[in-house]
Amino acid sequence: MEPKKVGVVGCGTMGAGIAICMLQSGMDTVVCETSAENLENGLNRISAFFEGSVKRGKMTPQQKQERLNLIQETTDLQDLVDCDVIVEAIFEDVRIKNNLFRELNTICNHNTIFVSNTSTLSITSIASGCGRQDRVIGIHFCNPAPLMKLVEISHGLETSDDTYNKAVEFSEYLKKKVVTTKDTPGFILNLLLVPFENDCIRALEQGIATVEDIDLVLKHGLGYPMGTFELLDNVGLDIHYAVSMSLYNELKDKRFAPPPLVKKMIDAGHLGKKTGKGFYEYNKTGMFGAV
Amino acid sequence: MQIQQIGIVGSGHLGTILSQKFQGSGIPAIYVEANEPSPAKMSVLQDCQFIIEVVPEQLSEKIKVLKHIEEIVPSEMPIAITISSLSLAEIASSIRNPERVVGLHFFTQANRDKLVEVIRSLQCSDTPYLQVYELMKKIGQVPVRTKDVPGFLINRLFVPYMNHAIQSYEDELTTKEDLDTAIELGLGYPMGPLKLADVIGLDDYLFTANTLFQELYDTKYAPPSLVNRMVDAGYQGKKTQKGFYEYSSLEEVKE
Ligand SMILES: NC(=O)c1ccc[n+]([C@@H]2O[C@H](COP(=O)([O-])OP(=O)(O)OC[C@H]3O[C@@H](n4cnc5c(N)ncnc54)[C@H](O)[C@@H]3O)[C@@H](O)[C@H]2O)c1
Repeated sequence: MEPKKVGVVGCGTMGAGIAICMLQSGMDTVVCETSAENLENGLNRISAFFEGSVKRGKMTPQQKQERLNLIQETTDLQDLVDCDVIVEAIFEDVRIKNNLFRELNTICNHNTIFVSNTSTLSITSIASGCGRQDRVIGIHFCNPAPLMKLVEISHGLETSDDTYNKAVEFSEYLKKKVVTTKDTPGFILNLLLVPFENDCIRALEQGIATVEDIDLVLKHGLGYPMGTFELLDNVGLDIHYAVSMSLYNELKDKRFAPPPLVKKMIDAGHLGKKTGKGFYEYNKTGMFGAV
Repeated sequence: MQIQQIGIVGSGHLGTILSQKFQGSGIPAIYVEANEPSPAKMSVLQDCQFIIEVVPEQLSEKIKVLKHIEEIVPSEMPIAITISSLSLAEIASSIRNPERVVGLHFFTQANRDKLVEVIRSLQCSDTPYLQVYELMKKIGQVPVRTKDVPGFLINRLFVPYMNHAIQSYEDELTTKEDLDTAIELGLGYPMGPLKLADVIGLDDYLFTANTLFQELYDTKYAPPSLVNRMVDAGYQGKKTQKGFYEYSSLEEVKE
């Protein structure tokens, strides 16, 4: 399948990144948000990315314009009617995602595939009772989506083989490397990463080592590209807390539960780079440096 | 502080590597074999500012050598002990001045040989600890400060991650190739966990995980049963040409 027209619902951090991947591959892309203001913010993210590419000499201003011309912006789900694939990247809440798919099911063509970019929720639950459970699948993009090569594809209990095959083709069309996992919370990456991060936070709480020394061990001892605390500051402590809680609620394994320090830091406003202070401190100019 | 001389007591590979590192940093080091420690042989240590002990990881051996050192060197001289899984407090307690004993956990694998964990026991006092920490910087190591807890810092974090990855594979969450690819591309780690286990050696990994579990009794440190069965079957990883993956002898030679 060569998808001609695709859609993204929710144009925040991930939705914008996924839309960029689609535009890079030359697909007509419908971008849907909840309000005109959110839509504008989302489109600004997309054009800022392409503007950066132009500045770095990776594309011409004309190529940038060609990509932006592929966007159809909307706040009306009706405009997604004839998409081949729709990726949702809305809030991480199973009820909200399920409602979206129920509504889209009444709008979209029979063949449209619904993709969820959830990090922690069950694809089966998101699809449950939406009316086309066989055409719902998970494709988990990594942040920042335009730069990260990997996607994790996971099929819900009712996802058909045909849908799986189309999702693989679609991902390859976006030039992504596919790994396939079962529909388990956190798939592979977050399943292994989140408890590891929490173990690092616990080691800090227990006074086994400092923030700097734990990051040094990971970079020099295990060759990781970034220390856990650098990574958490980039992700944001509030996001880490939400992801940990969501996984804990599904798995009931204490390794996933956010250690108390995370909640304390959130209460104190130490969310990471975006507030200028997390495990490390950031000066104002460097604050929004990372993607 | 200008360092005149370091004394290295011990034998084997690590001792040789350390002597070279000191030599390379322009710090004179004398090397004393610990096989047959005698007061005559040990007397050269008197003029050193630091002693580093590199005796194999065996409690009785370490204590024996430490007691010999103690008889020769001044009571305030810092003594660094290389250690990988024993209790530092227990070793330090065997001499009269345990506050000057500092632990060092080195890594000999090529890509992480810069790292050294500098371990502080309950008894250790600030001055020798900081002196040993600074000494490691002087010879170009990346020292990290950690406490005398099972697994110190790195294995305490590494073992639960590895167990979890191996368990996920045993539970058929995905294929071994996809698991390793996800970690390499998604997290940017240099090697996926199953490939890495093969490189470390399943038997050595099993030993490390079991040691931690037997001290901490937290199941996150307990090795998955698949590791036990693989070792039972002789699948120890690269060194036996079969672990999670298979290796041709040709490949073995190439690396
Ligand atoms: N941030 C990450 O690192 C990351 C990585 C992989 C997956 N995810 C997943 O991607 C999804 C989105 O995460 P994010 O970080 O981009 O969140 P975000 O808050 O940046 O963006 C969510 C966007 O969705 C919009 N939205 C909410 N409900 C909507 C609806 N009903 N219709 C249309 N738009 C709606 C919001 O206005 C918002 O702009 C979540 O499921 C998250 O778990 C996030």
